[in-house]
Amino acid sequence: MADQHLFWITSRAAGILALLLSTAAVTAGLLIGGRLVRRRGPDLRAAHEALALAALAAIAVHAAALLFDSFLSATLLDVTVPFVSSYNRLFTTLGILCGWAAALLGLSYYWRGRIGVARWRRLHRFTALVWLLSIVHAIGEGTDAGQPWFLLGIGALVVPALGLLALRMTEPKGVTT
Amino acid sequence: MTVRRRILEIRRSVAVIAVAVFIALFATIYVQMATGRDPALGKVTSSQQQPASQSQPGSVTTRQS
Repeated sequence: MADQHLFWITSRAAGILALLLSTAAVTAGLLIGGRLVRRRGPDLRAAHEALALAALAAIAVHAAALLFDSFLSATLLDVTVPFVSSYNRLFTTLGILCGWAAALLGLSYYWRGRIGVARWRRLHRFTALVWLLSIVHAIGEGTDAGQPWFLLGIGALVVPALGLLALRMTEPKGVTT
Repeated sequence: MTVRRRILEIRRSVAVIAVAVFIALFATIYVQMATGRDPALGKVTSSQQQPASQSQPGSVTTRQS
């Protein structure tokens, strides 16, 4: 039975991986800008960038695999354009918007010279909001969202990241980079 | 070790870990599905519970949407 759903399994695994990687990327980003880690060397920045790019790749696999799932029969428009798919429309749309926003905000790093560094930093803060909405997408639509292994695995990464985000938001202005 | 080499090493580590986690997740979901404990493929109805007059297949599995 599982052999008939290999692309669907691929999409589910890639979706969970994307959430894990984006959570790790957000955590690294918060550590770079926060006061908890004194040594903000190239290691943390390199990890942040690599994790973010890996998360974007996982998001692409998550969506692309659905195109080959014979049960869902999703089209390219279904997985890339908001409100087109009739499958769980609200959470699917949220996922699509989060995917595009993550790609635009993440890849804008390579155009920060043109955007302007200060403007890019303000823009980059919205990544945290996109990450939070992607958690809502995963819990609202994820097939495995009710599974104990999913909740434990995601919780182990998400809860510390939420703590760091709360800490960052309560820091006095001018301290963060 | 140069900074550039260190950065390449970090990128390689992230890629290896990502692939390993993907394989682990894929295997977990595959086994879950193969053993009939998948949350989306849980609806299995048996013809033994239906009247004998109906000629349904032995079991029907549907994916929840």
